[in-house]
Amino acid sequence: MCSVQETSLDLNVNIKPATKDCIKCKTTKATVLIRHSTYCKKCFQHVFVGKFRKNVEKSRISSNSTKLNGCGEKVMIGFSGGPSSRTMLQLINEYNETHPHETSKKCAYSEIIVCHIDESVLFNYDSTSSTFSQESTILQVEKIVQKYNYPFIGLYLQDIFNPDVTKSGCYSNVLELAVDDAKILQLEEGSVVAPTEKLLHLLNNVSKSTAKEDFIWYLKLCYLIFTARKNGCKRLFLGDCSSRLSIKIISQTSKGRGFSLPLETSGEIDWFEDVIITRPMKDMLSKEIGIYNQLNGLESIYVPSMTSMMHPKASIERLTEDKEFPSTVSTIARTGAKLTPSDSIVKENRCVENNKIWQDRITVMTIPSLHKSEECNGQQSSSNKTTSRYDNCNTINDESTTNVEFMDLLCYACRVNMLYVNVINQRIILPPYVAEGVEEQKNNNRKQMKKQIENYLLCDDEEL
Amino acid sequence: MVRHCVICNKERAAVKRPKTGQKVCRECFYYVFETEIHNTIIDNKLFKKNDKVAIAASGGKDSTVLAHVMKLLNERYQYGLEMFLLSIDEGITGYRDDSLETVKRNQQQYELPLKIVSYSELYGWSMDQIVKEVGLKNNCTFCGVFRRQALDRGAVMLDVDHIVTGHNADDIAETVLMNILRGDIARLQRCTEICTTGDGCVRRSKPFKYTYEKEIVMYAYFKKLDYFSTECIYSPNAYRGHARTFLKDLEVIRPSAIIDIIHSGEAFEVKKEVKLPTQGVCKRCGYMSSNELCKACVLLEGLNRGLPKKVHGDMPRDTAIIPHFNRIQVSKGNYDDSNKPIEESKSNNKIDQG
Repeated sequence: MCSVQETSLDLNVNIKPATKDCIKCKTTKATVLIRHSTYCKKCFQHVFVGKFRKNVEKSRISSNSTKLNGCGEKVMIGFSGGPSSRTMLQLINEYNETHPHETSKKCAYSEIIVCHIDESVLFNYDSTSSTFSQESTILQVEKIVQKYNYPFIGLYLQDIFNPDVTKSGCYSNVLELAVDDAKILQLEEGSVVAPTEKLLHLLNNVSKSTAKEDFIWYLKLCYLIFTARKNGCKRLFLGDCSSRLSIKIISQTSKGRGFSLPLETSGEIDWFEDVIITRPMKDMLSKEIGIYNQLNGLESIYVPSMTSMMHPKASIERLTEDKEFPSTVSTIARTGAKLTPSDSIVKENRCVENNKIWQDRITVMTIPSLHKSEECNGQQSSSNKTTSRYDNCNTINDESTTNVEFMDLLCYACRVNMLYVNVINQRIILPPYVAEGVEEQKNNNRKQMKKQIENYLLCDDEEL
Repeated sequence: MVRHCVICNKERAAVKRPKTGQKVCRECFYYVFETEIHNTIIDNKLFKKNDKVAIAASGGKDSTVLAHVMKLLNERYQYGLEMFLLSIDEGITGYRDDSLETVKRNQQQYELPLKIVSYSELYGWSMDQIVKEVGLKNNCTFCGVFRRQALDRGAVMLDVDHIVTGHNADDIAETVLMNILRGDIARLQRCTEICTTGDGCVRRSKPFKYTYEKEIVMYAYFKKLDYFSTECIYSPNAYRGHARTFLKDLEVIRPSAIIDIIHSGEAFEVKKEVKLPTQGVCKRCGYMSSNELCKACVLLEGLNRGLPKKVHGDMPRDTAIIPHFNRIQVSKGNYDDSNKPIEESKSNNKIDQG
C-alpha cells in the first residue's frame, strides 16, 4: 500500500564521472545510479529481483518449517495500484511461475488473490447528489490485475461498516461514542444510513488530520486483514518499500506507537495469528521501484492520500514525508528492523494494553483534592477523566460500556487519537468490528474473573 | 468575557498549557507542574531518604528551575535530601563565565552549597584552548564527552549519591529521534531511561523527563527566576538542531507529540539476536566505556598528541599515560579520592558555603 509517488523516473541520472562501468558485470556501461553504485540495466534488474526473492524465500522457509511441507499457501496481495505494490504484483507473479530452487513443479503459492480498497469516498463527496467528484479506482486497478488472471476483490473503504467485516462475519452492532459513554448499539434495520455517511460522519468529526489519517489507515489495514481471513488466505502481502517504511518509523514513533511499530514496519509479522503479513518490498527504495517499473513498462495509478498536495504541517505523516533527513533511508529502516514487539503486550485486536496509569501520572489534568478528598483513591477514579471533556460523571448502566472502559481497550496512541474525536454534540459510530472487539474483551474479562472465583461458585451456570 | 481556569474554576486563566492545551490560572499551573515532577520522582523511586544529591547547574533555565523545584519539593514532601549545586566550568569566555555568575546568585537565593569543577583543572585543556586547536567543527563532541565525566568527577568530590540534571522532555524526544536517524540502536534503548547507573558511576537521573521545555520557561517566567539565556558561542550542534526543528514542527501539529515520542522510545524493544555493545570500563581511567578506552581518554590523547582531528578510533597501546587519570582508582564501585592533591590545592574547588 505504498503511496509514495516517484516523481523523477529519470533514467539518464547524472553519473559522475561521465561514464562508468556497471559495478557488477564490469563490462557494460552503467545507466542506473543507486546510492553511489552504478549498474547496467540488466544487473540492476537482477539485483532488484534478487532482493525481492530473498525476502520471499525467507518468509516461505519460516512458514514451511512450522507446518509440514504443503503445496503452498493461499495468499492475498494488498494492491493499492501505486508503484510499489505494482512491482510487487509483478514480482510475485514471476516468482510463482518459475521457482528455481525446487525441482518439483510445485507452485510457491497455491492461490493468489488481489485485493484493492478504494478510498475515493474520502475525496470531495457531494452528499446532496451522492456522487463523488473523483472516480473510483477499482476499475483502473481491475484492468491491471486482469493481466495476471488472479481473482480480484475490489472493496470500498466505507464498507468496513458492513456486518460481515467482523470476526464472526455477522456482527451487526456498532459502537457508539457519546460524551459520557460508549454504547454497543443494535442498529435497527429501518435506519438507512449508508455506510458512506457513517464513515464520513466519523471522519468529519475527527478534528485533526493526523488522527484522521491514523483512523483511515487502521480501518484499511483491518479491512485487508479481515478480507484475507474471510478468503482463507494465510498470508497478506503489503507493498511497503523501504522509503515508505522509514517514513512510517519516524511518524509512528512521533505518534507514540513505539509498541506497535514493529508490527507495522517489519518484513514479516505473525501478530494477527492466522494472517501473516509479509512486506517483500522492504529493502527497495522508491527510486529503484520507479526505475524498475519504467524499464519493464509497469503502469501504476495515482492514489492520492488525504494530505497529498497539502501543506507540510497538515499532519505528522505529511511532515515526515516532507522532511529530508540527513541520514539515509536504509539507516532508519535498519534501525526499525531491529525492534521487536515487546513480550509484555497483551494480545488484542489492534490496540495493546499497556500501563494506563502512566499517562495520568505524568500529565496531571485535575487537582485530585478538588474532586475527592483522599488523593490516592482520587487518582484512580479521577484519572477516569481522560480529558476534561468527559467531565460529566459516568452514568453506568448495564448496557453501556463507559467511555473509560472503552479507552482502556485502546493502546496509548489510539487513546491520543480519541482525544481528537469530537463527541460533544455528535454521536459517533465506530464500525462493527470495533464493537465486536470490545464485547469480546469484556467477555474475556468476565471469564477471567470467573476463573478466579471458580472454586467458590456453587452453581455452574454458563451465564457470563 | 473572563475565561476561568479549567481546573479550579475560580481564578482567571492565565496560560494555555503547552502540554495539554488546558487554560489554567497561575496557581493551578504551578500545582500541576510541580506535582508532575513529584510524581515522576516518586513513581521512579529516584531518591532514598537522606540521599545526598548534586544538582547539575549551568545557570540556564532548565537547571535553574530544577534547583528551585527540587528545593521546593524537598521541603513540601519531606524527601529529606541534602542538596548541592554542581557546576562545570568549560572555560568558554563570554559564555560560561557569565552563566556561572548566575549560578553563584542562585546559590545565594536557594542557600545551597556550590561546587565548580573546571575543564582546565580536570583535563588540562579549557574549551577555548580546545577550539583553538580543533576549530569549530568537532568542538561540541569534546565539550559533551568531557562534561559528562566532569559531572561524575565533581559528584565524587562532593561525595554525593546522586546527580540530577535538567534534561527536559524535548531533549529526550530529540535524542530518541536522533538515535533512530543515526541508527544507534544501543543508545536508542538507553536514552529514555530516567535513571542511569553504571559501575563506579554516581546515579544520575532526569526529573524533568516528562516536563515540556515551554512549561519550564513559563514557570521560570512567572516565578521570575533568575537565569542565563544565551546560546553557547561555539556553534550549536547541527545534527541535534535538525531533530529539534522537526520536533518543534511536530509539536505544532500535535502538542502531545513530545510525550508520545518518549512513550515510543520507552516501548522499543530490541530483538534478542541483535548484538549490542557491552559496557565495560576504560582501561586508563576506569570510567564506563564500551571500548577499551573511554571517549574522553581518546579525545584527550588526541589533543595532547596534537592530533585533534582524529576523533574516532582506538589509541595505540604504547601511549603515555595521562598523569591525571593515573591517580583515579576504582575501589568499591566508587572513585577513591583520598589521595588527590589537586582538589585541595585549587581554591575554586572548595565548597563555597553560602
